[in-house]
Amino acid sequence: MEHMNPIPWRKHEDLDKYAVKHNVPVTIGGKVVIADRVVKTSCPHNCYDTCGELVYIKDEKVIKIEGDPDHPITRGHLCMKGFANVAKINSPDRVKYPLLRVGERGEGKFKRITWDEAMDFMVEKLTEIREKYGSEALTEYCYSGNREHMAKTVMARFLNLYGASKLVGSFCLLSGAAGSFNTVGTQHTMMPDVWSETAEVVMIVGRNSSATNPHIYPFLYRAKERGAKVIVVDPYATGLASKADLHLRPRPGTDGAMALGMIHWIIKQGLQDQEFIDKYTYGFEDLKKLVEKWTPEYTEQITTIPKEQLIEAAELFATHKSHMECGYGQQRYSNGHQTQRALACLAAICGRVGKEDGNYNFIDSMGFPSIGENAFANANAVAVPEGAEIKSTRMLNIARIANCIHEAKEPPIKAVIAYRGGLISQQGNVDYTIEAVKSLDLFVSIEQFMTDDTDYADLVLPACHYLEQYGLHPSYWHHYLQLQVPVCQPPYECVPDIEIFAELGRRMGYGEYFPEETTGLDYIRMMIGEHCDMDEAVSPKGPMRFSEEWCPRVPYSDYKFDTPSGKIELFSNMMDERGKEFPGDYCPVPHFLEPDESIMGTPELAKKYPINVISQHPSFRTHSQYYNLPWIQEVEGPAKIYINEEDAAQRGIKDGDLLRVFNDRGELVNIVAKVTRRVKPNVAEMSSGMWVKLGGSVNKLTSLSVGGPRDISENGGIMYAYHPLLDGNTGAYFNTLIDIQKM
Amino acid sequence: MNEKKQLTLYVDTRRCMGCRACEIACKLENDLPRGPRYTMVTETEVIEDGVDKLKFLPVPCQHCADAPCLKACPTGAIYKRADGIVMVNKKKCIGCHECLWSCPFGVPQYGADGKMQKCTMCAFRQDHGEKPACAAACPAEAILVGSPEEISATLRNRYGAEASHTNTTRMAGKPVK
Amino acid sequence: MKMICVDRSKCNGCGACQTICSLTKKGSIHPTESRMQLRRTGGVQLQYTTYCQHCADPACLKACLKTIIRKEGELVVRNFEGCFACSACAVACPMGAVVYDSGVDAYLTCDQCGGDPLCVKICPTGALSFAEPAQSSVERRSSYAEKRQDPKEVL
Repeated sequence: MEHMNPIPWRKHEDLDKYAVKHNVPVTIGGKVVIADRVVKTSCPHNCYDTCGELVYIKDEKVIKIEGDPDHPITRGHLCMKGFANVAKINSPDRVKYPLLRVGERGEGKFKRITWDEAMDFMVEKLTEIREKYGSEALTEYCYSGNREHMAKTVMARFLNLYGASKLVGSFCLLSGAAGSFNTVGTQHTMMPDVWSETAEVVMIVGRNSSATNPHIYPFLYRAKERGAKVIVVDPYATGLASKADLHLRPRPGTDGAMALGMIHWIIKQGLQDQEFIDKYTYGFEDLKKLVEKWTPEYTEQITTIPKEQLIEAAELFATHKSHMECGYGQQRYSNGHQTQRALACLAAICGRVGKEDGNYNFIDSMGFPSIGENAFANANAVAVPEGAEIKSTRMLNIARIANCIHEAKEPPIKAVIAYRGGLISQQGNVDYTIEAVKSLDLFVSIEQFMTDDTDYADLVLPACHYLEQYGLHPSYWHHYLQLQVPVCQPPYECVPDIEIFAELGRRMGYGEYFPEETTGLDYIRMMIGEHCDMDEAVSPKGPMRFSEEWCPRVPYSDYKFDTPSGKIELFSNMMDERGKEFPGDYCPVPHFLEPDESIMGTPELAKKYPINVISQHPSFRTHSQYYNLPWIQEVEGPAKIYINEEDAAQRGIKDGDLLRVFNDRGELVNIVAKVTRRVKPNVAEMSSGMWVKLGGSVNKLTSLSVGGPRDISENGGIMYAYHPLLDGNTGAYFNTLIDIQKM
Repeated sequence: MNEKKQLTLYVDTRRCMGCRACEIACKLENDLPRGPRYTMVTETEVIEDGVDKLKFLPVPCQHCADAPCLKACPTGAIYKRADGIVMVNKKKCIGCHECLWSCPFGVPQYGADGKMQKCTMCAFRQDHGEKPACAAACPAEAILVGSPEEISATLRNRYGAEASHTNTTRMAGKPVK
Repeated sequence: MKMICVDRSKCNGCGACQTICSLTKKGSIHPTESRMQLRRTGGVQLQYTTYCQHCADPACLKACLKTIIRKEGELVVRNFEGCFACSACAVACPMGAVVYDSGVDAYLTCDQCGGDPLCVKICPTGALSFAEPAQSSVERRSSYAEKRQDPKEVL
């Protein structure tokens, strides 16, 4: 592995200052190797656990990684991807040098160029595009491949100075977050070390912890060993569901209906916590009216959950010290916002909010209040440089970015700089998204490997692994912060994202706003330095628990909710108000609407495509990352789809057959059939994150349907006013209908 | 004075939830390429009381007390340490696969050199005072290593109370505060 | 490399493999000269089959007095025209997989029928399969785990 530093503008910090210990023996392959140093950091991939990690370095190379036993929640364990980072960071397939496209977009033909040439190319193109179309023709594409928050603010500084269109929103969880926020206000989570000791019932909705949250298990098992019962809500039988005492399997997209059915029964039996409702909630009568029709029979009809099971779950939840943990699967439908509203209302009417023996969790604010709109912590301190004139620009909703690119006018979108997210592999409707990318004058992809995105790029820049970069990524589930620090120098000509943006900024004439001495840690200090003693979270120290003020041990225990009424809003005033101003489903009570595509909601379409495919996140990767590693490919095997036994029998399909999977948007071929009972009839499961060019991308079939409340189909998803927690959105990947046949 | 007793690697299958961290931790610890899988998590679909469930079982080497592989090996390449760990002496191995045919669990793996290699219960790590990599990695803390007495104590601690719990389902009528 | 893999718990001692082998290779049923041999040990112990395992470090190769045995990739192959039937390889082979063929007056071993072994196809119980040892290992582990779920199945 070459470690060159041929790039004069690259920062070369002495990383030894982050060492926890020097000359540390580790065992590898039956031998003892003495690592030069071991460094503490944490994983910024997009999962709840945000594990504390100990990384062993020798000759500026990562040789081993382990969980940090000092971390009170992740307790020294990692997931399979955590361990696979050693293979990933040292992979011979890493992008090593800047590459300029020489063939057609999609051919993946490139030639190596120098960083100077790459910078000149970008400066030339960006200047040209601004002259020809206007500065709003540029935008970024950035998401959660490395979910830490600091680099994005540095890029935002550049984009603000340039006058680019802003990328806002989320395509993974803001529908649910909006639903949750519109009920209880600011989002908080109660850590598992609290409820595992106190709760009698734990209900987990829309999450497969085996894949995306394995560190919950010691706490979940502790609760079980104390006698607690576990309810899991998931359409399919997962690792987590297999540990449940009660597993409810709603028809995809009907978790909201299930919640309404449970609320109906609880009220009918008088099991609600009326004292709590009278004191701390608003709008009970409206909710009561809404759930009148949701009898167990009607709920069974809509959700396919047997009514005896629904009743059992409702009574179990309502009559015990229950804790509700919500995942994000249940809101990945066009009705996701109302689903989350209904779940929050369910917890509220049972008095399960603000209690040490069970609370309501969706997502945490991650340690810091939002300061300013659309900002995390004090992001604007970095994103909006003092003294600069920043013009107000339009906003592009990332849940509809392909639509934005197709439809934007005055100016059109002609340039995208993509980093930390797979635009082509992870957005819905691959073919439509590829057409959008092809229409650009400039597509820059900052990547670690030659992926689906790089195939269509004009310029590929060699990205750093997260272990080679600074980062601020607090967990959205627990309250311990370990800042990411570079554990070793980057190899080849890889450059950390912030240094790319800073150098580009200098070359575009914004030198005074990108001083050379500023490090990632300095930027982080600008964002959070005032609010916490962040040096306690930098290796060799850490992890650091956030203050009780921002991350209370028992959230909501003061029963002060930042909603208009100051109470938990079963009838949401904020939605009611917002709905007067903006289009979308802002119905202030959590009514149930069928998702955009569903067996019952779109029966004509369902005649052609009678199977609802859900594309969950497997344990093998984070979205499309890790998919190309030999270890991971070996354990995962070929692209496969889980189909129900009856659906298979009807089509003469046997386990192991190769299938064609298709709908009007696209098709996949040679997908291995796994005939199973883990999905119910008319449901299939095919993991997300498989690469388009390797033939397994479920996004060839998904659409750009989005969860609400805001309807962003007008104007292609381009907005001039937007509030994430009021408006949402989420990519509605799971309301996708398909059919399958033998090859 | 301190007799090294057979150590047991016990997988608490009530806890294994199929995350497969152990598989990759093992690859990393043993510096394995793609190919040999010293441990592998199996996934079986069952119906339990009418409910569809997945059952997971990691299958590393069982280090059998009466190891069929050891008996089947024609060259004596497989041997058992005093502490019970079953090991392979690659110099003696001729790569005849008899061990695989005789192992009820399918544990033996073959590397690029054609010779047998397999889980060693991280003998090297244990000799340096560390737990096997899979046990250290497991997020669910499902893999226990120790003497049978130690493991039994942990399990009793985890599950012993279960029998004495009153049924916490439905207390009809009033909610419990 | 794919190998003929055997699950001994499924072998019922029918000998179909031994029969088809000589039938295919010699054109007649000649069990003692079949390269896939069925051994019946009697008693409760299972019957088992022996055939060339294409060892990584073959004993036969070292024993051969005329050095006509070699490794071609992962296969162990022999130039049987040069064989003068000294039987050293048969004595050295720990599996007893080398058999004397009267037709060519030489010692021969299983050559996997060029990649599509008949014995595997004819085995009525599925005890024989043709797969990479790694794949066979995965199947054994999975099948053990399945058996383990049903207490009746565990021996």
